[in-house]
Amino acid sequence: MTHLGRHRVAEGHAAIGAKQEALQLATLVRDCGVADIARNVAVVRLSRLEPDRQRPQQLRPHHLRLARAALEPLAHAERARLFMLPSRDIVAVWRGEAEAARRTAKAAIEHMFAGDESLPISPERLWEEYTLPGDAEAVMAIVRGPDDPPATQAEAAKLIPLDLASLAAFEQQLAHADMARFVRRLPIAALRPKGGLTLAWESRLFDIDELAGCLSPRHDLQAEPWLFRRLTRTLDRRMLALLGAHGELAQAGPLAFQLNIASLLSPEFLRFDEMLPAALRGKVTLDLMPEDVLSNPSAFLFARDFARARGYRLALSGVVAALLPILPVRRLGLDLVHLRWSEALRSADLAALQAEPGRIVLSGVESEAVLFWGAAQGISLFSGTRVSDVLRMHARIGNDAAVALPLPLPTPQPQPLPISMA
Amino acid sequence: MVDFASNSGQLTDWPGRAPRGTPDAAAVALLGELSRLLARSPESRAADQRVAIILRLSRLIPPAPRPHHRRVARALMQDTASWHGGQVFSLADGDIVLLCPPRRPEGGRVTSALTRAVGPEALPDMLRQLLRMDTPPGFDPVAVWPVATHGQALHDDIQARVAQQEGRRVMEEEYAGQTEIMDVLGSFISSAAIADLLQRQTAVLLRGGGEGRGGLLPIYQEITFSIAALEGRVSSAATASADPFLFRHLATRLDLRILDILTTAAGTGGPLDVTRADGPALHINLTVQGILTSDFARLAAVAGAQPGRATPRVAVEISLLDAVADFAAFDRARAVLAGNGFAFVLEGVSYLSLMMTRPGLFDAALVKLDWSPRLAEIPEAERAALHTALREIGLDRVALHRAETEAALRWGLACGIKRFQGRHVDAMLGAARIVGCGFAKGCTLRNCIERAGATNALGRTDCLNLALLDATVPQGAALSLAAQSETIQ
Repeated sequence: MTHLGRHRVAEGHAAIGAKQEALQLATLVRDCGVADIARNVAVVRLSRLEPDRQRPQQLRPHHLRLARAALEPLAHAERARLFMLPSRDIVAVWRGEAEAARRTAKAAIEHMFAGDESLPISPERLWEEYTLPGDAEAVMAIVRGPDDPPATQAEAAKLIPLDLASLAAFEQQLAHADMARFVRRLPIAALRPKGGLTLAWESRLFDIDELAGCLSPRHDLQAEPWLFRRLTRTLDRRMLALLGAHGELAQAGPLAFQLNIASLLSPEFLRFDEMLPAALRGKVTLDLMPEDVLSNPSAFLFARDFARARGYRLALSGVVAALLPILPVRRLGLDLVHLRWSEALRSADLAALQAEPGRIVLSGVESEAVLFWGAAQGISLFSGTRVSDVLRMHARIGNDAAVALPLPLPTPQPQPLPISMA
Repeated sequence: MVDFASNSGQLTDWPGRAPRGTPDAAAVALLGELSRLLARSPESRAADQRVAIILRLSRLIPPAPRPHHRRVARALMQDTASWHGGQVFSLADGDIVLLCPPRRPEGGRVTSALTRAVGPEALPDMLRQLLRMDTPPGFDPVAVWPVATHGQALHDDIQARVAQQEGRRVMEEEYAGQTEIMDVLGSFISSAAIADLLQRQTAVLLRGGGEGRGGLLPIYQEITFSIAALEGRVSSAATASADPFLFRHLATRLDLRILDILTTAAGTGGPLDVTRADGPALHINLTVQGILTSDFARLAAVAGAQPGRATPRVAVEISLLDAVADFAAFDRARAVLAGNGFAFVLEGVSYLSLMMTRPGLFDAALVKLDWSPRLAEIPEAERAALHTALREIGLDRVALHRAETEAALRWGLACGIKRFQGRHVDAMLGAARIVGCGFAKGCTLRNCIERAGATNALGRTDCLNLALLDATVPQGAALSLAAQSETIQ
């Protein structure tokens, strides 16, 4: 995956590259679903030129080249990206209005194959259009291809793990990259008194897969967990710079983002804090990671008290059920904990885990059953694909519609979140 | 009001110690302001309502003040100055002085809980709260001096500092460049001969009667690489622990080396022999990743359960940081250890992490609590919580690690802890060995401690009583040491 118009995959590496790109496109489609990100998709179905893989190929290398060239007008659309799939299909994804470019590209594709009587299908059938997140399933079917297995994590394993030298180079690269295009928004929803869900705040985060695909496509950024954690500090600084840009948060609602302790005490955070609109003070949640908190408890306590004094809420991220009793949120002096859903939780009792439901955000919610489980436990904050779906439904039908879920969810007792200084 | 004293520019600036011969610009500016005050008539001086809030960062417990202490404190003081009228002076020795009205002026801008700036009346307490973990016991890091009555004293103090020109330099974080240095270290670890950098340290159980009268029972020997020696071999600029995340990454490389060395040493009968049936258990530090490698499986194969020994010879220490970073992987690693008969020890538990978490729930055979002098001085309320936390783990499952002083042992014993590891224990064992050794005439205590800590022949070459050195049980010494090891389970 690269930027549209700058696709330079060597032919010799095309097969491996195509599988990687399929994986990256699948990630993009999934993220669009999770974070309700709107994208337009155009697919040139070159795979349809090869209905029978056993027969001599009708698809020639120049077809690929020409098809790529035909999509060139879309290169100038916002956030435009191009994916070459193993099936030979080419997928263009972009944001917003690009009607003229779309028409030009479509006409070019049709013109390219017009008059070729050897084609098994009409040229019009080579062009398909979709919109995300609504057509996610159809696009995923294209990603999977007719007979290629879906791109899996095993494919990702072929990427080179980050090492110290490549980390240093990547950190340098990040300093100059346009990072805004990698920012995603993940909604966190709260239970409404009547049982539906309502947007509580948005979490801003970088799409790591997309970031890696664009800036360091040969590396698996997360293969070495400690190097990745180190990398997150650089990402923190870039996120703070983005959010602290003049006017960036002028219209923003309550939000959250992940931060290392070192970043919370950095000059970049002080600048962000200075730029934070008064209306947002008290409505920003900083998500901390357990290993970061414990890597320097003294700095954590300093940062925690400073953040509290400035009106930030603090949450612990990435906690699995087994860690809940080991990392008591109250003892850590934090406001919230993001509890990752797992099947093991289904039979668990939060009381036995000594957790306070009012301080839990249940993440990874992918079904109504999980929502019901959480609500029954007294949890009132949720995130995940199902949550995004419900919120999207709200947005389409109207916030007052009581159709968020088939049944009203039980509403837990309201427990105000502490934001005052401990 | 213009903060002319903070004319170093952005908040990120960190002046450090002014170069010799260069005046401390902020101190000079403050002196100028005070001189103007002192030059006024007594009536005018008395009418000056301002106070000087002096934040004495230079007196914090090293390694504080860190750059973030200064940066954040200065931001808070700058906000107060901006909202309530005042001036901030960042002195070269790290201290910060705020000259401002004693409280928000009548009719001034209204502040609320959600406003960034803190009023001058609340600022000292906030600073004390923020810095409490790094403040020496009984020391107040914030002084509030009324300018009208203490202007001359403040002037004299600042003047003395300018004359001295010996402020403590506080370095800005070396964020850039760390990765490159660690890359050099990592390459060295992977490729160089570093077996001679392995060292060992004996932990003991103090039994009955207290130190000197009761018994010292060696319970395990921890085998670790000397990080300081490693850094010294690579570069004087290399500080492996400067970044905890990069250090953890390096630890995964160290894992592979120690696993290889121990596997090779199996059956040789030396200090690194994991198959030895005598002596205390061996402890090795591994990361979760390291335990899940085939290298660990090879060591486990050679170190398998020994005939006639019901208890494991090897225990693996995992850091608290590693355990919480990826709990699923940790859980798998713990199962691998149990499957091979290795005990699991939780290490890297500071007293702060003990207060914030519940390490007893990791189901470790032993929890190693790092000694800190602060433990002996924590407030009563925290002490009660600490004792509760220790009891929750079980005092028989706690070892006081980094017990470098007698005070550490005394504190531990007073708490009911009986297992200790650290330099003070090394000294006790060394002294006992020298007393009981017939070849110790030319040996110093330091010689004996260093040789006992060495794992290679070169480091032990001058010792003429290797049996005693390895046994860690100085027979016939003043201390009554037991002849058999105790397992930690």
